[in-house]
Amino acid sequence: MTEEEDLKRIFFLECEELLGSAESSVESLRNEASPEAINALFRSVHSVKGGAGAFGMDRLAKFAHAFESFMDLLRKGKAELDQAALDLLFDGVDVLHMLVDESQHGKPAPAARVDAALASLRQRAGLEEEPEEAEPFEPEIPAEAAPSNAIAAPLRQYQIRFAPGPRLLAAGVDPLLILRTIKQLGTASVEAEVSKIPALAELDPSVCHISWTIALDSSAPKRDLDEIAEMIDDLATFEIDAGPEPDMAHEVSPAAAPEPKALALPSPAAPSAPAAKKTEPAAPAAKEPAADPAKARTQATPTVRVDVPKLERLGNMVGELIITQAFLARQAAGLDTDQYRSLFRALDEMSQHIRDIADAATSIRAQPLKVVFQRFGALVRDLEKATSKRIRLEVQGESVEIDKTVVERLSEPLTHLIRNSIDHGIESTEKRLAAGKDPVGRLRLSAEQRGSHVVIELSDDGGGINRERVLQKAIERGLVAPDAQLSDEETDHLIFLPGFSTAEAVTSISGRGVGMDAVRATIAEMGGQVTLTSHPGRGSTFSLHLPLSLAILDAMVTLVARHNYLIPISAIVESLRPMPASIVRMDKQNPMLSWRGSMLRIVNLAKEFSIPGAVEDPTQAILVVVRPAGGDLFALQVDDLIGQEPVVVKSLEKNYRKVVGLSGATILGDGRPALILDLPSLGSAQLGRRKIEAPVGAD
Amino acid sequence: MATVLTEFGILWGILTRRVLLGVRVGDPTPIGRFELPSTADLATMRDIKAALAERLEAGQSIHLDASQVEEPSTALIQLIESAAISYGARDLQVGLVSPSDALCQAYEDLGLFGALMTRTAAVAEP
Amino acid sequence: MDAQRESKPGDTSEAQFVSFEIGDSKFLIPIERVVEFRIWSEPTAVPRTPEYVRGIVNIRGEIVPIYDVAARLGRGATEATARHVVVIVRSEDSRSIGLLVDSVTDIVNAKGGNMASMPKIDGGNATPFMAGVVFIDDRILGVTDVDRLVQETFPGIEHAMPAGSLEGPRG
Repeated sequence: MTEEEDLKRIFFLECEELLGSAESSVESLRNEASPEAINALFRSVHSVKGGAGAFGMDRLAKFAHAFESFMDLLRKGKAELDQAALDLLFDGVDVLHMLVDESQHGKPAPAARVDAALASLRQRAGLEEEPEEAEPFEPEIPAEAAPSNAIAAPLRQYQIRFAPGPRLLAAGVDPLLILRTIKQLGTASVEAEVSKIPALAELDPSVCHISWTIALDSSAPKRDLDEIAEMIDDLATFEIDAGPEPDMAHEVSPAAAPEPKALALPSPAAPSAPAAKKTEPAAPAAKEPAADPAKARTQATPTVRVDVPKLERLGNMVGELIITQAFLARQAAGLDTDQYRSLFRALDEMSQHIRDIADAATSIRAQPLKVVFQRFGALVRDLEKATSKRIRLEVQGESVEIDKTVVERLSEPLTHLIRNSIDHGIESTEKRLAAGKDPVGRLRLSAEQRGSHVVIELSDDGGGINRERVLQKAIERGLVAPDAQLSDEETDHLIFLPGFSTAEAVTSISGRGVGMDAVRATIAEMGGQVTLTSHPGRGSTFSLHLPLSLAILDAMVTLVARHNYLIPISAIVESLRPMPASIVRMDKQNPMLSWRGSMLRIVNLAKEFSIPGAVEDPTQAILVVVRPAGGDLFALQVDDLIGQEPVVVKSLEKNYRKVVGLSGATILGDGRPALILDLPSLGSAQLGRRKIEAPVGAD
Repeated sequence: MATVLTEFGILWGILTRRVLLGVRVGDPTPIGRFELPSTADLATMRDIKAALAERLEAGQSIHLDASQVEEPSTALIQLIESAAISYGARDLQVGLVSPSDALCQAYEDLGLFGALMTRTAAVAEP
Repeated sequence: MDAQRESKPGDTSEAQFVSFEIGDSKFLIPIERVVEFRIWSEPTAVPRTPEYVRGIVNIRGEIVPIYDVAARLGRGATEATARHVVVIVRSEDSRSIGLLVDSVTDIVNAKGGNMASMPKIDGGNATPFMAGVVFIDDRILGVTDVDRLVQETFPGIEHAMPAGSLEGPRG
């Protein structure tokens, strides 16, 4: 399994989608020549071209380029969408299919058909026979590129033999505890050997005659098992066979290591199925040389492709399950614990199982961003050559996990953004030197999870958006009125409009300005947002805010006046009722908390959110010391703590909008929604203040 | 996969147990009864062993009321299974009546779910 | 807007509307936009939100904001009671919101010829949130523009854009 193979696989998945949408665009063009459909078709073809170029699929890239050029003329109204043109579009999409098939499965596309369609497209697009820009990329990343672990580093398979010695029980160690400890590490299949149990008359109850073989699928390191072995060192035999170690285990970077996840559902024959046949090696293909990566891949991690709607349905059902469980727990809370002991036990157990199901459902869908991020190194190198600029790419947060469908769909918009930054953002070496900058341009790609969102940022240290030129172009293209009064921010965002391009000549890299439009549309379709901040002369940052589609959060339910607000447990350091002496008032407005030798800002939730009727005096309230992701410690002031609950994060934005200070909402056991706090934004005083004063209403 | 199966297994066990309990069984030979204590430590184990041996001597099958077992141990389960072997050798049976969830879970965790099913089923067999 | 709401004399197509009342005014919502009705109960308040957004409720696992239509129209906040009704509506792009109204009165049939879109004044809509009017029994009833109401809650980058050029191609 090479990086190249993974990326190609994702590209082909994308192609399926792109060509599907291309087909429906053509279909709708037959009924009506709508600019939307032309734009959509253009973008699909453009994306296919981009990927094909990057992977050195020359025939596909060449054809897509001709197709795209023709679409561009249609878009600009320079070609007429007559019957012949429609036929050509239909034929073109068919041929694209064949060429994708050819690249994917090696099934040659009929040359005559391809050539004929290509000739017609070129003729109508007014292209030369062999346009130079058709091969913008240095193709062929070498096939022996570094093997990757990111997609499907499988769970380790351990084989454990556990045979208690004669003194184990007497020493107070019940094998039950050992087995339960092992079970907690992963999925265990326990087989007991009972043939040594003597007849009743001969039985010494203080000696254990049962022994066990345990097949454990776990992502836990072997030392976890070693610890158990040490604990019962001379009381029992405890042999651990870690099984054939997957090759990629060596490559796992520390950041990505803790939870390697399979890309898709394991098939029944997959390594994570209960290891009934113990003699079978775990992943035989993983040891094979990478001579035939495609083949090795299919053997190493058998996968089942699952329709995304099915996964979505699973996610929704799990969400409902959690809510129902919370409801049951609330109902039961009124019952007498002694009388209904077994009911409570069952409820406890159920909640644990539901949690496991939820984790499994989430992990099926989650993938590290590395899968997309890793392709950009090669992209940047290619673009360096193509533009003669020098660029250093820094990548951060590639172990952040996000929904699989999001990961898959991210490569296209991120590719566009990176190309844009290199093409338009980072200046030429001469210009940089003249401006006193490092001749090597800096591009920083980072990801971070913030509550129910993942924020991906792409920053360059280039020249920033040339607002004058952007505005001028937008006016030229009739996108804004000549007398429009736009703020800097609004001007910057004009680049997201369809058909916008600041490049004087169509370059082979950024294409025709379709990129930014596609970026915005793709991110919006995923329920996300793109924003842009730019500083003239210093560079630009694109921020993509993407929702984690299915997120289960352990939350502390707090009370402010009569409202519930939820704090992610993971961010809580301590909750306390402060002594008067620990409250320090530097000024009248903002008391601080003196805590373990440092001064923490107290964020009074009631004040931030203008909630009347809450406790004002910090010494009468509860202070929750929290550490927001990537931020400094601060103390949140609430009236009271209600308790801990696992909750399903629901989007506030789907039907409403983003609210500063909140990361989402959830539904509590009583069926009512409650709000989840966004600690990073609450913690950042400046941001919080500024946004409060911004008009909340529309218009 | 395995987790799902075992969870289902427990559920099935509980269901089976409940269903089977409803069946009244004809009683051709007298069946001994013994109530297992809530905690089965090594000390009580000797009493249980003695009781089991006594019935075996008398040639009676035995039904163990396991509804009160709260803290089962490997030793207890081993004792029950040892008895089952000895009883079985004489065509007698050791049945578990209303095993508590804790006991079911312990059987399950020890990889002896099949044995549990046999013990509970024994109660209903004529 | 929907073609059926354009005034075309002699148009015999029919459209159905749900009518609701606020104070002594009556408004219409195209029936295909209505998802369900609910009795008012206090929603979960959301901070940093305009007055006319009363909070959020749980509609089959989705978080749905409740709008006080009277307040949105500048008539002051509604003193909501258990007799008030929340109409859950869905916009063209599948966003749901709840509209707090005094009461839902009936279902109205209107002929295509009796409908007109809202007059535009200086490029702006004279009455925001009204997509058009319907003439019924000598009365002129405003048709609520669900899409517009829903959009109002999304002051994202879209609103920095000139209107009209934003619609990305959809399929």
